[in-house]
Amino acid sequence: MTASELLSKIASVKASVRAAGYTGPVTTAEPPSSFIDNPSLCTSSTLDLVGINAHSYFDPNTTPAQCGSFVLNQISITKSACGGKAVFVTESGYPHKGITNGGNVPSYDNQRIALTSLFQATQGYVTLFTYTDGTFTS
Amino acid sequence: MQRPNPSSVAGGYIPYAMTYSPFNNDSSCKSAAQVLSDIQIMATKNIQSVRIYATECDTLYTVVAALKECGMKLIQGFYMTSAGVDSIDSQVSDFNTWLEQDSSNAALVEMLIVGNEAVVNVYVPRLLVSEFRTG
Repeated sequence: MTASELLSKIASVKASVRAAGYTGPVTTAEPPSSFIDNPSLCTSSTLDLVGINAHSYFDPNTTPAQCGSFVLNQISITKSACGGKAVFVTESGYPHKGITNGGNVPSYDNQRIALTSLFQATQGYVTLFTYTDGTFTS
Repeated sequence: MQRPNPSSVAGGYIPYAMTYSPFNNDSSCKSAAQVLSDIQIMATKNIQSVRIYATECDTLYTVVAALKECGMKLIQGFYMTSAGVDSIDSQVSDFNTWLEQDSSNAALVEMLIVGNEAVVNVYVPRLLVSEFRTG
């Protein structure tokens, strides 16, 4: 759907949840390109903050060790496109399994390298994608 | 193969939030007890908030009960499909009903996320998503 269709729906949802008693922040989650291509989506006061899904794995020009700097840059370019509005990382992470994408080769070792880089760069202020038992149990 | 343990990879930092799906591998809904067990593991890692993508599997009653027990917050999503913006309406209704059931519920919600990649839509090839989500 278009950014303007989404924005008008968010406005309507916001009014509805406000009437039901929720007063907290409302946003959407997109890759930064959606906001850069449609800045009206994030500059509108309808969005209280900007949610981005930022995955370095999908940029073939990065390596696992660059995961953190990639995400910081995604935050920065989004904030610029959105008039300085606060940006929250609604997804980030790194796969241990899957096809190679340029400098990104999924493996447990590379996942460890990427997540270390991610957490150090962002001081952990991200939403890690995703929970599985396996992430924690060994 | 040794899997990374977040407490050793975090460089002293804990991920603030984590995404969570309430499904078993066979696509059935996890039970409230399974959900509680998962959320308790996140709580032991000091994760503060859990992002849910929709209201399916009664997450407003299973995940939320677990979050309350663990002192954690909810990042609630409304999942928008290619059917259009109104595909979230029943989820918004679920959420509002839940809000109105207990005046303390609203304070558990840290953020609402309306739509996930609804504009970009085909950003991530399906094959990559399925492989990505295994880990």
